Amino acid sequence: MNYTLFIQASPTPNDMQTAYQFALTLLEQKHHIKCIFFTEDAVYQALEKNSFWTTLAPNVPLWLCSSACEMRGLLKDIPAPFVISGLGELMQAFLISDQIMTFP
Amino acid sequence: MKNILILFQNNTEHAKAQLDILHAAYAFEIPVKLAFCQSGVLLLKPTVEPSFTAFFKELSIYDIDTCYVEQESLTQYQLTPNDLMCAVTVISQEELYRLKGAAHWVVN
Repeated sequence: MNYTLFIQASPTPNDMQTAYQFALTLLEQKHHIKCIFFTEDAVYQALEKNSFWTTLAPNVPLWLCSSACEMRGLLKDIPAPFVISGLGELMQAFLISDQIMTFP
Repeated sequence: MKNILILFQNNTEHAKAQLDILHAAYAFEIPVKLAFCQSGVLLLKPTVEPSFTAFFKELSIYDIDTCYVEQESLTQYQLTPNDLMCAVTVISQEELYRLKGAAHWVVN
C-alpha cells in the first residue's frame, strides 16, 4: 500500500516517536511511503539536532510545510534531507495514496 | 472520489491551519465535510474572531451547505443551532463516528 503521513502539532516527543515507529513498521512490511508531511509545531521536532526522521531518507521524502516554517522563522537553512513543500503537494500526495495517516 | 472530513475539536490557532487544508482541498476539487465537537463548536458562534465569522458565513463558496455539529457538545456549551452563524446538521456521537469512518482522511 501507498501511505502518506501527516504530522501536525506535537505536544510531546512521544507522539513523534509513535509516528516514527509507525513509519518504520510500514517500511518493514514493504509498504511505500509517498511522503511524510510535517506541519504546525511538528516542524520544530522534525528539525531538531540528530532528528531520528533523517534515518528514513532517502527512501522516504520528508516534507516541511512552507507556511508553518515561515510562521516560525525556519525557512532559512533547511537541512537535507528535509525539503520545503506546500499544501498543494500534500493534496496531490493524498490523491495518489491508498491511506493518509494523521498524527497526533 | 476521495473526500476529507475536517473535524474541529477546539477553538485554538489549530483551527486556522485546518481551514488552510479546506482551501487547498477546494483548489483540487476534493469534497470536504466540516464537523464540530467539544469546544470546536464555539467556532460557530457569531462572537468568535472576525476571520472565522467571515469564513463560516460564506461556506457555500466551498460547496459546503451544512456543518455537522455534535449534539453533546452543543449541550455542554449550552448552545442551540439558532445560536450558530451557519446552517448546521446536529448529529449524535455515533453519527460522528460514522462520518469519520466514511472519510478517506480525517483532519483533526
